[in-house]
Amino acid sequence: MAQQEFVSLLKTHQNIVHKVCNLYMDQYKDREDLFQEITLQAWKAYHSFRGDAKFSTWLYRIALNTSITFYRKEKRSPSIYSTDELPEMVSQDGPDPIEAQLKAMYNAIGDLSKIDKAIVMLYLEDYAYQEIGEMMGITANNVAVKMNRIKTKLKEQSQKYMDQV
Amino acid sequence: MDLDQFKNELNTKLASDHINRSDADIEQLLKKKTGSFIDKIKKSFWFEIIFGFLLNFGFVYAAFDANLQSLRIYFGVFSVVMYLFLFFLIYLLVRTNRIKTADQPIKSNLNSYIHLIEEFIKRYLQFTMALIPICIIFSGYLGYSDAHSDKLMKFYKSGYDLGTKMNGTQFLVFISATIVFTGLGIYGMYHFTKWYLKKLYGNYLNELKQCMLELQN
Repeated sequence: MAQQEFVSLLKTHQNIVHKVCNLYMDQYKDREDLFQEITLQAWKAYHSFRGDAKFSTWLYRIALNTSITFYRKEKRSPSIYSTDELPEMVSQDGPDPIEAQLKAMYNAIGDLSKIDKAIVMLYLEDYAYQEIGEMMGITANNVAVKMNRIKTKLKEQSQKYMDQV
Repeated sequence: MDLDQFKNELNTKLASDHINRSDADIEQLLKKKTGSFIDKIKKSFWFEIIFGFLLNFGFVYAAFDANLQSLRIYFGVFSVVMYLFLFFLIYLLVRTNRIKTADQPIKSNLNSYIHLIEEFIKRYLQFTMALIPICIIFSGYLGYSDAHSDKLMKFYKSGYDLGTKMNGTQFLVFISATIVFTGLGIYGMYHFTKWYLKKLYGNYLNELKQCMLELQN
């Protein structure tokens, strides 16, 4: 009964797990491994889910914790994202500048540390700083400071990627 | 170029690039084995506890059954130290079971991981180092004080004869060399164990510590 309930909830919210896997892993095989690991860790912890928080928030916490502590014996690739990840958006008038910027930003996020990625992920999901802080185990003020730093870092890094194009 | 400018696009991009799983796919995943570090270290604890207890039965048997008093004391002390370590492993296993769920804040989760690995490394090193005096100095002393057997007597006598044939300087060099080589052996053993533990857990531990440092700054 609990398993059916869990499977149904995870199926509905599987986008969260896919997003986290795409953020943390660049290779298909690694993403599959991480998806499996998050699913298993979520199932193990499901008995502790009391429903006083949203399932999505709870699942984010499990997924991010699992991704940050994910243990791989071999590191397949040092870089997180390859520029091949995004399809080339070349219109008849040449490369789309917006797409190029998006690609640069995506690559810049890939260069972030595991912790910064977690914060960006939650920020993109429109969580309030207070909620991000609770999930990360830090204060809302600290989240705000970190988010400012991350934004500056992303701006600079994505500009570097743009200059390379 | 700003992150907020691409918020929606990035969200959409991250959520794409996958095939949706069906109920059956997810149920299938639940049957698979987890590969998390905590589960790996748990398996390692179980293996060491079971293997350690089996091995210790042999030591306890030898402690009661050996003919020589020295051997009985040696195996007795060895098994007491081994039992202490095994009980420590059981304590770590209990602690590991408590932190296996990942639904706590990221900082607390990292903290639990770091403390667990650090404690394991510290105690493992202490245990290995504690075995050195038992194995070398203690066994030598016990063997000497209980030298009944002919073979053992011959061994000690040859050492004694060698000592008496030496002049003062030679004896001093011999003793110094023995101390230096024993010291080097202990030093080597200490660094080898440290290197081995670092190879097993060091890089992972550093990675976790780096994450923790980032959260604290």
